[in-house]
Amino acid sequence: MNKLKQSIRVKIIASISMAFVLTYLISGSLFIDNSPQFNARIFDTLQSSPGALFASISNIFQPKQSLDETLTAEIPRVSPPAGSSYAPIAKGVYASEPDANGERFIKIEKGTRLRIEEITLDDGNKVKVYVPID
Amino acid sequence: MYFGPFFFDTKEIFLIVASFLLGLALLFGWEIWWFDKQVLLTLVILMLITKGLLPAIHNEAFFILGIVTIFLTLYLPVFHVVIFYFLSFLFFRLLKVI
Repeated sequence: MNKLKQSIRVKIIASISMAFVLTYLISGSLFIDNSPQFNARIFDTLQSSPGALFASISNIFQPKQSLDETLTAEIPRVSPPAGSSYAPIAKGVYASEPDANGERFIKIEKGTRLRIEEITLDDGNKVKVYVPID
Repeated sequence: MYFGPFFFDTKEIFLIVASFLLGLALLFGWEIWWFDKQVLLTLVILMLITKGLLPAIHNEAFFILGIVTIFLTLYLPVFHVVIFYFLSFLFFRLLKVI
């Protein structure tokens, strides 16, 4: 009887511990702002999870960098000419008028979430397209 | 203890008394140190409902879970505590505690 009671107590503690760990790990990402509202972005997060796992394994000896930071660093950056003015085209995204060479510059505000899509052009080239997520 | 055709054991009576006290504390603005009265009242009502669904042989599991749940209200948002409470029952069932 004592052994049975002991095993039940161990199971109680194990259940409570597992419930706590699961709550701590998933509640923040599954629900929005401590409310019952479901976070629709969880699917984007899950899609990038294998990539994040591979990135962390391949960068195991390098300083820790989140997948977001890694992908952000891959966005090409240029120095626009001074005096460029930008008009908003989407939330957190601004575009300039074409300059003398016909080039346009895009300004993305810090904290803007972008979805990365890879598109294959007719000539076979693959390009990355960054789509702002509302 | 029987109230008409309904039977309440001591733990359920204590939960009902606790819910009345919390209700009065909310009404009259009594101070309860560190704990949020509304959160405690919500949890007490949840515990009363779940206690009503559990047979009395599972009192130990329910008692430990109740203590941990109330303690967690000091550290976690109430919604996370509610999720924790229901997940605990799920794991109790999976591990055949209840």
